Amino acid sequence: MNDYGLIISKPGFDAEKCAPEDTIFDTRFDTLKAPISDDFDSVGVLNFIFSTVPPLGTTRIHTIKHGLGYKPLYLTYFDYGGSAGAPGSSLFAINQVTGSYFLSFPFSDNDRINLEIRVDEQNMYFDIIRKLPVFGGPSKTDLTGSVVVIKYYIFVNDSVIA
Amino acid sequence: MNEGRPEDIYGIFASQLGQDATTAADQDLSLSSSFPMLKIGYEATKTFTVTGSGGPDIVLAEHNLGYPCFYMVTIIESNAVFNQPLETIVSSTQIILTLPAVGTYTTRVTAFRNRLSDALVTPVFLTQSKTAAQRNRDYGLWVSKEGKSAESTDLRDFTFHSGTRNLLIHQVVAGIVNPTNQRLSYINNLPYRPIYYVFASTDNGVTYRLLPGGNQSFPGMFQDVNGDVHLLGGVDSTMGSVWVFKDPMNPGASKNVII
Repeated sequence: MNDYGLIISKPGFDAEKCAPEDTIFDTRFDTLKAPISDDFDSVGVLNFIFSTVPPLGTTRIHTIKHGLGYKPLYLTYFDYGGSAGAPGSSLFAINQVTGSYFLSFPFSDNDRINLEIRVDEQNMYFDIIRKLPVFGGPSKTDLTGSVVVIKYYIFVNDSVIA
Repeated sequence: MNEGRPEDIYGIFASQLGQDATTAADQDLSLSSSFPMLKIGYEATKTFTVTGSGGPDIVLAEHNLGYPCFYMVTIIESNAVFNQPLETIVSSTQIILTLPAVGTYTTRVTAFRNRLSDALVTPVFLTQSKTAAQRNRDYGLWVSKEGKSAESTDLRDFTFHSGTRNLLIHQVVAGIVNPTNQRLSYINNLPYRPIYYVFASTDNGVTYRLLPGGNQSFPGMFQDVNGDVHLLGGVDSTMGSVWVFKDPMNPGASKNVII
């Protein structure tokens, strides 16, 4: 462990002796860093406005070029309907590729529009995947008129551990 | 809540580029001694193959920090990376994955040296002082990782760099779900709807599960239009940990994408 840096402890703790959990700021440990750059927006908000029913299958709806040269860690949050971070409906899901425990019965795992966000060495991709309901009947995946707000962070932290 | 730096408050503040550290809103700071940060304490990758259902859960990482900690799980594909579509829990020693669907997975786990059981109210420091110097923008604070140059142009080489934006922790509500309304709630005291994470425990704090956005089965969670964040308990005496960051869900500036 490096013997230099800056440590700020919580009130009542000695910065020279306390556990890292009792520090406010501790440069011995890496942090999630979103760069402030003219090259790309590492933090941003996107409003995805559904004007039509997307085709079945996968459609790439947006790409952000980060150009970092490695696959960065990232975070995304979404706001759909009245609740931030919550779908407000079982018709929409984010980054859900397996299981159905996120969704309430009777909507099946396939009965929805899934937004998948992923990164590679150059870009962040936003794909929507539309599937038909497995139980038949009218599709419940029509989000026409809806706006899904996504907030994203792209960190200069490599997802691949050296 | 005052988002500025009044002259009678002192501490260490580093603003983002183009912002004045003496007046910038909290969410525009890279560092504030008033608001803790997430400290990466453990990182690990694991590749495994699931060939059928009914098998045991999978230990993704042995972090051995001694307490359930704030964590992230990322899926690494051969050509891309995406975030935690899988159900995971954290204990005092491990991060465990509920057996997923058939397939081959490579996971990357990030465990932070931040306890889920610790409640937190910020600002941590609010001390009287009479001076607050205006600072030149041509300054900064950066600390390189051991063995890396502080003059590196690769931001991965730094544990902290004031040329980046960091998530500052605003408040942590930790404890037992209120038996009256079956909720553990953060009541928003920020002028915006903040981003957040919610962890739930149904075994008295031995393990915690990171809840995905909009989880609708118990324990569930949601954020309401006021920005309050609610963990919804069930018949179990659910414990929880609600983490709120100093960052608005929607800061106003956004880009429209028509689908």
